[in-house]
Amino acid sequence: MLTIKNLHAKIGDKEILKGINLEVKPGEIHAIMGPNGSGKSTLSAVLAGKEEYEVTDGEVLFNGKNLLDLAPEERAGEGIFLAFQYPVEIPGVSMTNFMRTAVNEIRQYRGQDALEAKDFLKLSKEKQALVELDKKLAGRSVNEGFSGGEKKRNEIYQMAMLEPTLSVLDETDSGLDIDALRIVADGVNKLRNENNAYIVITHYQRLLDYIVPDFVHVLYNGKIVKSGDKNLALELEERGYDHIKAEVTA
Amino acid sequence: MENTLEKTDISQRLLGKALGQKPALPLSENTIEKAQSVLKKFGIPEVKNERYKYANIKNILNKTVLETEGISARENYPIADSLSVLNGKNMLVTVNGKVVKQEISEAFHIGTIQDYLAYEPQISFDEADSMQALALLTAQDGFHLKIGRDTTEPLIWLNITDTKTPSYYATVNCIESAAGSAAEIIEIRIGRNAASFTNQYTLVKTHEHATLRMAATDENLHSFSGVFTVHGIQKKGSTFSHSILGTGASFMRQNISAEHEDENCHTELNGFYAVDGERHADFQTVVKHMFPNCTSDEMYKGIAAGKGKAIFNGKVYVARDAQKTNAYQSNKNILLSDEALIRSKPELEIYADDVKCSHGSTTGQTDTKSLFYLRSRGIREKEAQKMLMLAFAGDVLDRISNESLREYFSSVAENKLMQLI
Repeated sequence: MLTIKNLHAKIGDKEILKGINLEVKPGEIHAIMGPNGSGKSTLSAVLAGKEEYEVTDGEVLFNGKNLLDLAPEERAGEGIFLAFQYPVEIPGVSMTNFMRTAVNEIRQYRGQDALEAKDFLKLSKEKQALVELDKKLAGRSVNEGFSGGEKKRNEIYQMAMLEPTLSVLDETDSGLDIDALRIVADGVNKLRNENNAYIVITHYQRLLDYIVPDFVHVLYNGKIVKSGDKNLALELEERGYDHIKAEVTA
Repeated sequence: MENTLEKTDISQRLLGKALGQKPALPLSENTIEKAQSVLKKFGIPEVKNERYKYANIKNILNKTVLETEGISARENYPIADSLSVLNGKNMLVTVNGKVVKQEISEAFHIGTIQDYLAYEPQISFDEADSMQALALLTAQDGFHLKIGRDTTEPLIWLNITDTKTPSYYATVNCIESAAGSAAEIIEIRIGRNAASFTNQYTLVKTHEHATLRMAATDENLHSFSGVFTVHGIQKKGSTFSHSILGTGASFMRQNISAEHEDENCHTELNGFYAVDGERHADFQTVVKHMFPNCTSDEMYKGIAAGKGKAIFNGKVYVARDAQKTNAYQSNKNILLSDEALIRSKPELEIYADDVKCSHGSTTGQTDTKSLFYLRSRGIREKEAQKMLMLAFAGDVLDRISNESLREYFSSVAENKLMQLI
């Protein structure tokens, strides 16, 4: 589904990704962990198509297409979804208008007819319930006045609405209390199936108790320096990153 | 060659006419003298005139206009079909300042400005503004609109400029809201045939506890130019609001002033503008808080693209006796190109000590984070930009209380934004 080969990217003059290799297949959950500044968020931004980042080398194939050639909206149409670490507040754009536009733009991209208003509302209600998102929030502007937990649940609600095949969750657990974390993780687990895949970026092992990964990768200094199964996350939780840094520099 | 000569002389000819001939309107001797001395002092505004620093009227007149009087291109004027959304409402149609049609309920009464002046020949105007003096001295026509208590539907004023040759014309109107009345007036400025220049002065009086909401759009003025002045005089407990949509005219200067003559008045001034090409939209507002316990709220927002220019100069004046004044003013702008220009000058002049006043001005670009967020959800860049711009305009458009008119204004703004992005 996703093949990342020798990906290098920089912002300004600063090289952040220094040769990432990663293969994600349908049905898999990959966790990417690593200390601050290792390039985790940059990787998610490059996958979603944020223009500030310049890819200097390597390639990213998504279902055989060169992802790096596509605009952010085309990537979404192809089935990529980024759950933002810091979802943006957009005053004056209502949640409903935003989501209806997004759903129908993506349907159009995929050659499907636009959803009728009543079908959209039905779908929206169903997906809101999935992450226990307060109905009142639908009447508000995008993320405006949402609590930290509501913003993260709103990300998962959008993911549920847009039915991506590859979702990148960028530190979705940061700023969440334990109950919100469980709601978000339950949402992801319900949406999970053999056709879609997840890249879960996190600092802590905690989230991975709820969203159990098939693979855990350690990103350090712009490279994946270690990969393993879920036990690698437990090991990191116990021993920290220092021994890995030591191994890499040794 | 002959044409060029005439063109360069137009402002001179206009000045000669205003100062040398008896005005067509029955103004008092005193008013004529005052207006003439203001006009002598300031002339037809050009860059030296602080008030019109960025709006070189003399230059625009000389470049665009051939005649000092507007002669209509036709006798009967059909109402444009495109405005059928406004059907069923009270309708007033003026052509070059002259009332040609009225379909209004009994709550409204329309007379001529001549009749009004015969009664009240001392019409007040701003003695620092020579365009207002020029309007009084050169206007041929105008109306006096009286609004009674029992209005239900808004009044649509189709304000049509229709001239055979590019001309200057002036018009003076007076709108009076009776005590306790509540009404909404929508002015739709329309330009037809030769691109002309309008100098319009409208005096608005809101009597005790009256509410008058006015909104205007220049979308249909196209290549036309004009200075449009509204001067509001508010009596006790009255509310006056004015919303302007500046999306069409090639040059528009909108002057709005409101003066409180008693306590508990509320003034609300709103504007949304979008300038592209080489268009110029210019807003000058003055709110004079002269009495205690009054409020004012101003919000102007705009977008400049291409080589478009937009100017906002808003002044809030609070007199020493105007305690407990609550005045808010905000101007926000988005620049879409390197050559677009915004000039923003919010001003507060406060002499009272127990007041709440604030003002703010921002000018920036489209928020890239919001744009990326929308695009990452599959929304195409243009559509995402449109959503953000409409949200930006929404604050202003939401202040138009009548639903169908709000929708009409929103669709005008939306169409304009689609051209910009």
